[in-house]
Amino acid sequence: MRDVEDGARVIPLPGTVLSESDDATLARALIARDPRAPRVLWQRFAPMVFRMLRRTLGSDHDLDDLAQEVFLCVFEKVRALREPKALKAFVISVTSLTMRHELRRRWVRRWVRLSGKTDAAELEIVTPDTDAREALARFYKILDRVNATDRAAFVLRFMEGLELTEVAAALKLSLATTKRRLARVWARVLLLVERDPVLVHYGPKLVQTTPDGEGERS
Amino acid sequence: MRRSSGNLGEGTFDGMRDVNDSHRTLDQLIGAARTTFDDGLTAREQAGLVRFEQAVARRTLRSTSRFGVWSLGLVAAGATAAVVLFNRVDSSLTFSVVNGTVSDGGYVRAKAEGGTELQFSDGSSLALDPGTSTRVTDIDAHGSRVLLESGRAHVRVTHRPAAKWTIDAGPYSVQVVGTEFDVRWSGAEEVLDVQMQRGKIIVRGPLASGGGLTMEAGQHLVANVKDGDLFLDAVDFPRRREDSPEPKFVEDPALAPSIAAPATAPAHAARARALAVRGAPSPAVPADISWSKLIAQGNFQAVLADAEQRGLAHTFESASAADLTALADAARYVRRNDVARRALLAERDRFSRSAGAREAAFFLGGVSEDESGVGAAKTALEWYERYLAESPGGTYAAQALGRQMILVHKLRGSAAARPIASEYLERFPSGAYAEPAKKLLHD
Repeated sequence: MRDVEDGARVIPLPGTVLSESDDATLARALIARDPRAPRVLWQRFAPMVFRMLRRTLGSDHDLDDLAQEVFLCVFEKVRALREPKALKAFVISVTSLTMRHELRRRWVRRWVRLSGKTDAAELEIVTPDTDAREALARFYKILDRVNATDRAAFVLRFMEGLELTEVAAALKLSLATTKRRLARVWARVLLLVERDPVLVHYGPKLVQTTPDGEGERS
Repeated sequence: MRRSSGNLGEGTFDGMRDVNDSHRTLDQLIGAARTTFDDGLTAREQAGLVRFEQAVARRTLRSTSRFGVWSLGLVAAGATAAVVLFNRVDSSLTFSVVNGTVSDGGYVRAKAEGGTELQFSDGSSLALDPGTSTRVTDIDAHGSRVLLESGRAHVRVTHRPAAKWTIDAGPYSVQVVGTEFDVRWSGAEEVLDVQMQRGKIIVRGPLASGGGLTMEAGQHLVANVKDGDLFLDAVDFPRRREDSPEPKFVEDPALAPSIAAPATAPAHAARARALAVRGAPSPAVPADISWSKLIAQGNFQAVLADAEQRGLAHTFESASAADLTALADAARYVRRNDVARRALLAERDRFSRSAGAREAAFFLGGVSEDESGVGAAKTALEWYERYLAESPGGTYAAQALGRQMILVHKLRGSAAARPIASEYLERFPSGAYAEPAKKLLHD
């Protein structure tokens, strides 16, 4: 403890120790119901979980609720985790299942109301480049036409950059099935992009923002 | 991206373009999505941590309660056996509520006026401030488990061998053996305040270590979950309820001169709104409950409904700073950003010198960020910059600087965001935005 004013003391936060621990230690702390563990779980994985949800569903108000579902499910089911080192894969798996469930729920909602309004129409994309914004909106409209499992596989593999085995594990599919699905969804999305009247002329001038922020046109 | 288009099948080629162009277009679309949807979290998304911790606390409590039912059954069975074998009964405690209501589920609500008290058969008691909500979730021969949902309680536990008492408050649990202390939990502020008078307790929860934080007589603990602060005031601070007027919570620091928290802990000044004294409740509020309390109970719609009944324009013009803050919070939670914005702007306009007005700039940034489009992002950025200019060391400085970095990156590119990333890492090396800041500097 270090003194601050008039004898008041600031307590060093022991949570920082757990926050610097590896995934296996964190998993064991969660299983042991260490009261520090939920906070560290959130701080470590929230950026990844929100990113996966956004890349799958777009920026949406419901993402907060979905993220809560993911973390509560991880907290509840973590005792079933056989290998504590696999905590990250476990979180990815729970997130993937939540994404698929949500995609199905939205599909049913769209089907029931028959409004024709897609989720992509509600997509919020903050980017200064209007071309990229429109392209992304149309791209997500295309993804709305893909079934939930294929879309989740597409996001995990091509946006999240997971290995095939990781995608298969996250979606609880065999490796062969995962490969087939990925080939199928890639071909389908490619076809839909080619047939999109805007994207077909749009691709060559699409802005790809580089890591240093200076857009380059291909 | 670890992908080879070649083994993923080729799309139908329409003859108008080379198939490689299509693959390239799709690659670019995926790249744009990756760039757009990055690791940054909005202020609201970050606030999800508190929600998660509360949900975990509730689930842990429910598990304990379920376990407690079994335990009670086992205790009862054991007691029956003991009667048979030894003609001796070790019965559970009982409790009664004076000047309050109690439901079958053990939910106890203090009346708006007068002292409400839970009196246990072993002589232990919990005296509740008006409006305080508690729930007796478990009770056996050794003690009880009580959930303090919101408000303040003066706890007095009779010391007995093997006594086991637990007070749960938000994500915290206070383990008691035999002692006397005041405990307050504010769900809206995410602040736990424990004032020890005698004995010893162990506090467990966020920011307190796995083994718990032991507190002894005279110590004062304030844990702010939202800000990640935990302060233990080592100065003796004896005060008996009967010795002095009761402090209550207030939203307006101007109303809280003398009994605000002891001047020993620096965080207390920043928490004036949470720890100071409340004046009379707003006249338009139902007689027994304020908007702040409704928010603490999670009843956001009731706050909005009340404001709309009064007339929103009238409310913005005449409500107290505390009520404007409460209304803005309620509106943000139910995503009525239009109302939230007007309430926050009214707070800045009418109480321009208050801490709440300065904090409103931060929340206005969050409200703007919730909206789509570049214009909204620019507006959000302006509000964060204004907050940082007005409150460089403010409660939300870390979040504001982090959001500023993310927005500048999105709007102006990496080169413009790097100086902010450097500043962030210098000021908040372990902050929530440290990783994106490092990534930005290293890319």
